[in-house]
Amino acid sequence: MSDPTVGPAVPGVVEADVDGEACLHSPTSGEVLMLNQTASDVWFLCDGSLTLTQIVDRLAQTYDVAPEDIASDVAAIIDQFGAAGLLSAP
Amino acid sequence: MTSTPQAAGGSSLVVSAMGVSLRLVVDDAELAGVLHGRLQDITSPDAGVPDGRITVAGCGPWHIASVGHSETATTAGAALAAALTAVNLSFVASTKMLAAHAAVVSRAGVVVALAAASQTGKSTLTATLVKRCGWTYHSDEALILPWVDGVPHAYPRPLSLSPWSVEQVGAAGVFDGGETHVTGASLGASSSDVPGKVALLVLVERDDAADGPRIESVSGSEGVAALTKRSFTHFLNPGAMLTTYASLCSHAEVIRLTVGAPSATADALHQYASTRKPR
Repeated sequence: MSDPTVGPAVPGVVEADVDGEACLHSPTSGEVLMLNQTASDVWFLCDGSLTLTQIVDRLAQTYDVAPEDIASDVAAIIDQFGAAGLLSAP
Repeated sequence: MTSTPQAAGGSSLVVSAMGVSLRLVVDDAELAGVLHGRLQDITSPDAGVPDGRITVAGCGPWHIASVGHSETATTAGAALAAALTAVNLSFVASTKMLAAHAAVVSRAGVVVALAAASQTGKSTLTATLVKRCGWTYHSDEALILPWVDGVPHAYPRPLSLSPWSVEQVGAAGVFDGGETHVTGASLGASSSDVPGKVALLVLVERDDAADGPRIESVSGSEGVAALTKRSFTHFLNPGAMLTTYASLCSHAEVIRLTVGAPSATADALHQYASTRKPR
């Protein structure tokens, strides 16, 4: 099964880090999105250099949990970023 | 105050705020005098070409007209309220600055922005901080920034207080039949430029079940969300808005203030802000 890299953000997305939480402006929807801590942790890893598996592994290490325990949640968050027009297609 | 007599016996003056200047032309000399008094803190020298014009024609009924809005008032109080509203709406509609609904006050150089939903008690709290605690008044309408986390622009328009608020604050002003329009000067506040960057962003909330004022720290992202929600010029440059508010909320302290009685709430915030330093 292919495991492409995730991201980076589409051109024009404005990102601000406020105390570790990401605030984003989507140029396509015009919306400002405030991410919670978990979604922010995922977002900051979606820079185009890591695959989904690598992102899950990194977060599992950070949260001290098994990768399989968070894999589906991380994938769902990344899907939401894509649906919001924030991430470049793989 | 700068006023120019008009042929009809009224007058005109130029008011400036948010980087916008407006000429206000009033036929009714008595109403003009009242308006000049209310708008004294934002009156500018009559120079150059204003960005907009507001007319108050007639001496009863009064026809108030500005770009995109006109109405007729049948009482002098309603005419006063309509003219003040027209001035405010014209500023809000014309400004090119980054502006969000919030009050701005300061004490000992510590600049505090109060962001609140309507009917939360922001104006009452602002007036109480000025009158009771000796704070300096800068705005009851907007936190106005030059699209960077810089020093806010002042907009010391008169505060519009309900009869209940007037009683709580002990304020004096001009009653229009619904609200009382109170200048910063009449509350004892010196009118001056904002002395520095916002050091404390206060998210003002009401909880009728609360038994007194309560202050708690919140995350900077909550501050960004609150300002973003209340911004009315964000569409001009959403990305710059986000980076500006993010910078402000990263460098300023952000707290939630659940209001209680106005005097107790003002005292609590006064005590809290007294321990903070200017930015």
